[in-house]
Amino acid sequence: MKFSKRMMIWLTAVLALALLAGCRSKDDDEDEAAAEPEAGAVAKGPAFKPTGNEGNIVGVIAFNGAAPAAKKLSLDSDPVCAQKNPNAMGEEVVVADGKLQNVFVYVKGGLPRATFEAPTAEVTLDQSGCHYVPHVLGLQTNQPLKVVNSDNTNHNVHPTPKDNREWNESQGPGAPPIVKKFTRAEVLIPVKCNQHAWMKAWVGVLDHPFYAVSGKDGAFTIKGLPPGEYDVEAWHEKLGAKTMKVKVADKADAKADFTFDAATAYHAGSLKMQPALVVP
Amino acid sequence: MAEISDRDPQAPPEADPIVNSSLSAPILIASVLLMGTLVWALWDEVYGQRPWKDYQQRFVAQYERHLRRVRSRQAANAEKEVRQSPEYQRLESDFQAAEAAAKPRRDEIDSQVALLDLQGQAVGDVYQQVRGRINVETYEAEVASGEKAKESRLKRIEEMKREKRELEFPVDRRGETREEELDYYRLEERYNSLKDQKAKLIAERIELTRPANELRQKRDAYLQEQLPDLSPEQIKGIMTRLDNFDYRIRQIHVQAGDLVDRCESCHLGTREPLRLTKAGMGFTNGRNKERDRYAAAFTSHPSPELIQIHDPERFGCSTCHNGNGRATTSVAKAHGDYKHWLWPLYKRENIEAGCVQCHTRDIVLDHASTLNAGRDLFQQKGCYACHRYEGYDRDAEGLFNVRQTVKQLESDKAANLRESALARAEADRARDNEEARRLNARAQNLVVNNSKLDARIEELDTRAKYLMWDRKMYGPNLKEVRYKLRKEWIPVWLKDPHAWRPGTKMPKFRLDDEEVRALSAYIWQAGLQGLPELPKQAPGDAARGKTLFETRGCLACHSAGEGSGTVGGHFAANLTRVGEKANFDYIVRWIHDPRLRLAPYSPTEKKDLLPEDYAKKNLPFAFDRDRSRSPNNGRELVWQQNTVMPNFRLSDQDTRDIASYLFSLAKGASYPDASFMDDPKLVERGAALIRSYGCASCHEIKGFEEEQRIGTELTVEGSKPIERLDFALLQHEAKEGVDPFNGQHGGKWYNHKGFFEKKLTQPEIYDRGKVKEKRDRLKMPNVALSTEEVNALTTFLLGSVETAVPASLRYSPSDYRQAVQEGWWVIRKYNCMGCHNIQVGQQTTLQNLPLYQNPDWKEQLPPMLMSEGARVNPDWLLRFLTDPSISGAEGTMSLDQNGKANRNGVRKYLEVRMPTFNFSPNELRILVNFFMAASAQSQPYIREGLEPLSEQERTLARALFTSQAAPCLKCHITDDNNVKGKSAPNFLTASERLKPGWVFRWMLDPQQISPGTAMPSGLFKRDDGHERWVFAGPTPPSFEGYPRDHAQLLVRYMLQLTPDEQRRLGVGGGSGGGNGGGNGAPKATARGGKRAGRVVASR
Repeated sequence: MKFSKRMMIWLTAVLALALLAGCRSKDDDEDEAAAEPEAGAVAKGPAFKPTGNEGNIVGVIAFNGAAPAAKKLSLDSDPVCAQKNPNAMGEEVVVADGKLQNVFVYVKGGLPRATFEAPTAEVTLDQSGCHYVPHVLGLQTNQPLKVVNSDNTNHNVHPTPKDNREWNESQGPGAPPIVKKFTRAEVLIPVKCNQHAWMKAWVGVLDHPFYAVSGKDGAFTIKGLPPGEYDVEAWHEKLGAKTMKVKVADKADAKADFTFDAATAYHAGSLKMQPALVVP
Repeated sequence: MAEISDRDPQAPPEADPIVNSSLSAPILIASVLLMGTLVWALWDEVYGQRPWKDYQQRFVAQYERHLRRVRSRQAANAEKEVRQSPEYQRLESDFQAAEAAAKPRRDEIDSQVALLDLQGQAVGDVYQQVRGRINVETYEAEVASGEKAKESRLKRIEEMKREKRELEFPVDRRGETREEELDYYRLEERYNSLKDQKAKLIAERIELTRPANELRQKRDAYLQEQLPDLSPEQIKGIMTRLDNFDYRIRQIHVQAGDLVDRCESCHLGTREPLRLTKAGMGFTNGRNKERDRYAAAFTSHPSPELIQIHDPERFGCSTCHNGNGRATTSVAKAHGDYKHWLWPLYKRENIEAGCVQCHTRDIVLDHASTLNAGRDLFQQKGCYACHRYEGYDRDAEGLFNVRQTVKQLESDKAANLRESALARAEADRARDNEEARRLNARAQNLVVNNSKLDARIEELDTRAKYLMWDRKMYGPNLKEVRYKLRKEWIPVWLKDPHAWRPGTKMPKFRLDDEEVRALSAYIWQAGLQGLPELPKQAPGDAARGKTLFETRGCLACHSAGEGSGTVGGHFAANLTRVGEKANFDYIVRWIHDPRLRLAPYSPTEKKDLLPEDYAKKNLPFAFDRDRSRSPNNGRELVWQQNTVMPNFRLSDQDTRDIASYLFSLAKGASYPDASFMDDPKLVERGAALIRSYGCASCHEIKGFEEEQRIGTELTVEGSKPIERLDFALLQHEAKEGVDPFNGQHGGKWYNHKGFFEKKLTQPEIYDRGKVKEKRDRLKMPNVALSTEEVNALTTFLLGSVETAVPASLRYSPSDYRQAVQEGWWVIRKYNCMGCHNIQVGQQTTLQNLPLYQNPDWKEQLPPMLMSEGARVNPDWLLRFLTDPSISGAEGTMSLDQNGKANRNGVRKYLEVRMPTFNFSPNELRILVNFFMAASAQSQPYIREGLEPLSEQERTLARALFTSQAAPCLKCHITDDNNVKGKSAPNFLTASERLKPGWVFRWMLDPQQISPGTAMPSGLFKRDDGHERWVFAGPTPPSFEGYPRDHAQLLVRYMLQLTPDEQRRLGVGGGSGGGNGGGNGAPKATARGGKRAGRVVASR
């Protein structure tokens, strides 16, 4: 059998193809893989830029019902405290004229995807008269918290967060201020002094600056919100938390009034088994 | 006939079939096939059988790509930044200065040395030559055959030495030389002196350049520290290595075990210095499956700590991972996933199975949480009660061995007596006195031997006593059912315990109604009767009981509440429905002292002793630690309940309150009539069933105290050949990969893992489809296990193999680490970790309870014990574990008005209470050794003497303690009778209890030792100039000019504190008489109210 020229050409072609089929195509995935950054960098979005249309949320926290009598605290365990602050009163539920103080109001949801840069201004927590001033304060993540001791006695500052690192440092009279940062959002971190069991403060750490603490008249203002609909929560250390949907319009003040009842005694989702309250 | 001439001359000749037939086609086909086969064989040889080459090429490509990405501008910038930082510049300039200072002299020395080298060379050439020849002559002289020859040789040597040689001696480095003529001696001299000079100069040079070298090292170290990960140079180094990559098989050969592992031929990223992740190696998350496979193979080992501890060069890979280390021809073969390899790779969820074969004695192992869970579950779910496993149930095993030995010795004694009697009889019949004497002596010796055996038996009896003391049973004592339980509840429980109490430790036995009736009847009728009635208990205050229950620490082991409202630990039972099943009086008695037993059991007489047995010997019916012997034969009794539950030293009222609270949680329940339980005809059947189901492995049942286990031993279950695992009729489904629970197709499970998992999930599954009598069916009961629990137990069982690992690689320490291993068994047995943090990073049950989430209750948690051995004096620890109510000051107990010790000795301000565990001396020793060994303390502890305080120092310390700036007295107890508002121990306990070194470290940074503790850090700061620690706040003026360490002063003060001195500290710190509490802060309420005659004794 003689091979015609055509046959030869076909054969060669087939053989060549067969051999070439073994070769692998070169990888061409320069930057395909590893789109995932390595660890933990939670990039939430571009930096927040105010457009000038921002509105505010304004409101008053009311207290319904008979205000519990303010407890008189005995600071005798430390004579320096007793002397400086002879009329210390408990601050768990502070009601004046039917208005509730020390309620932490903040925007829980509905914010645009943006990163809010942490301000460099320090927020001060003062220990004065063996008593934390202010009782409730708000911070942004990575914003410095400055703790100052204005008393002539030793205090120790002991926040007990769940998502941030716990620390416990001694601060003597005249000691330099303790400056610390919290890196993760947490609502709210209790701060205590182990030496003076009545001292209690609450620090709310958020990723954004939209929070406020209600004052003596129960009033609060959250400024600088872009127009939109937000979930706003009002949190009180003893009376629980309440949420509300608030619509903020261009350059307007949206009203958000909350009312707490004397009857609601515990946090939603708090201790399943209540310890017997121990009265000192 | 065709003529040749007939042929047409124009026509072509006819085709000749033979000549013209061609074999080209077959040849072509054959040659194509051969060619193809050859190519195939070559390809296979070079490539196909060697997939690792492909892997290696891909790895190199991926790694290079990854490195280029990593070596981004960021890293380079970081280095530049560091080099420009002031610290680095300072180090750099220091280094340069030192270099410059040393340079002139160093250069001088260098040039001198160079010249000396030249000179030495020149002299050396000639000298060596001459010396060589002289050596030859010397040898000849030595072996010369005659005196004459020798002499002549020696003379020749002398002459050679005297001969003058020419030498061109260099005078400088340019090449100038001078001619000299020296004999051998001079040459030698010259040579040696040159060498000496050089040595001296070199030494000088080293000294000279030493400061500069040190500074250079400091500078480089600083650079290294500041840069994270690898520096650009290191990355460049790796890339160069990749450029010259050596494509070959990577093999680890462990001589000791004849282990060959070639895993790293494909898993090249395992030990790379850079951390390689799937993403870095080109993982596409499903888009390209092939690339994903490669990316997964190239990652770094996920646990660098483990690799550091177990260097693969020493341990290999397949020791831990299984699989076929030698295979390189395919992935399936290398991983052992084919039918000829018996030990396939462990799946990721079972990876810790590899730890078991070397760490056989470790019930708690770092870095092996799944395995720890599995090992714990084996104990917690009672598996060890039916299935023997080496190491578990050590007390019972020890007891068994001891008893066997005693039995043996007793029979030896009887044999001796018999022989002695025979010998005596023979002696009496003896023919002569000699023989009689011999036989009598023999008789006597045998009797004396018996007395020695008696001594041994006595010793073993003591050991048995402690082992009996330590031995605990998994389930409650069923001899007391008539006093403890409601009769009608028993059959309901037996039928389905999990329905009545989900999460109970008792498994479900799949009993028929007939079996339930027989068993209940036996248990009821075999229960103790005729004993004195239990004292009646008045109901207590349930509300108060609730507080006690939640705060005393019961919830660390027990739980209460149903479903999602369950709160507490899972070590012991859920108590919500106790009221529906138990007798109030019994429960009150139990809570008060769980070890109290209604009647002791005598293992030697094999019966329970009743009041009659005691009355016969005129003894009261009383038995406890000190009266633990049988009146009948004087041998040890089981005088306590075999439970691990400890005694909380509660007052009677407290106990009644707690019991009332528990009973208030139960809703009333009615159970069907159970009068069949009194039917004597069912008793025999019940006894047979108890034997068959092995109930006595967990429970004490009359008549079954000596029963053996009915289950298979599981110590090496992982090594069982697969053919011996009875898959029964499910073998086909296993091989096909059909899930027997839901019929879906999945992975094949015809292997050990599949067998164990299915068995643990539903033990009777291997009976499916079989036609069997009830008594022949599989008896293993259903233990309700979650998927994670099944996985943990499977991991444990998979790893339980007969190990081929050589002894040198196994973890069997005999030093202090063995004490740690031993101790963990006791710690797990009593659930110490329910209250205490013992392992670093471990969570306790208590700290996760809702109560302790309240920040005010955080300080109410029990102390952390991670470095307990470093903290406390072991003698004190021994006393404390024996009785935790000691207050430390001279080891005395603090007593309440009843004269009973029931307060927490050291931390009186805690609501939660360390109970009395009634450990045997055995376990006490194990625990103390454990804590000391875990902190690497030398045993026995010899207390350091403390430098006594001068009066001045004492005044200083006192001043500091009582100053405004020092917080000490605000939290530490100063008066044991008044602990309101306090949250730290009394300093008076320190000298007996604490180690001074630990106290010093604690004061400097308590948060490091015990994170979250109430004591703050930052009380002292470092005074570098004077190498000491000083108080961080304002010190009293008397401290000016005190040159020594403040913290050490306070340590010495505290550990030499006397009660007088403490009183001198006085009220200043706010102790004594003050109402220190604030809102919500729990206080330690005084127990029992009045304190007869005790006045608060503060100033």
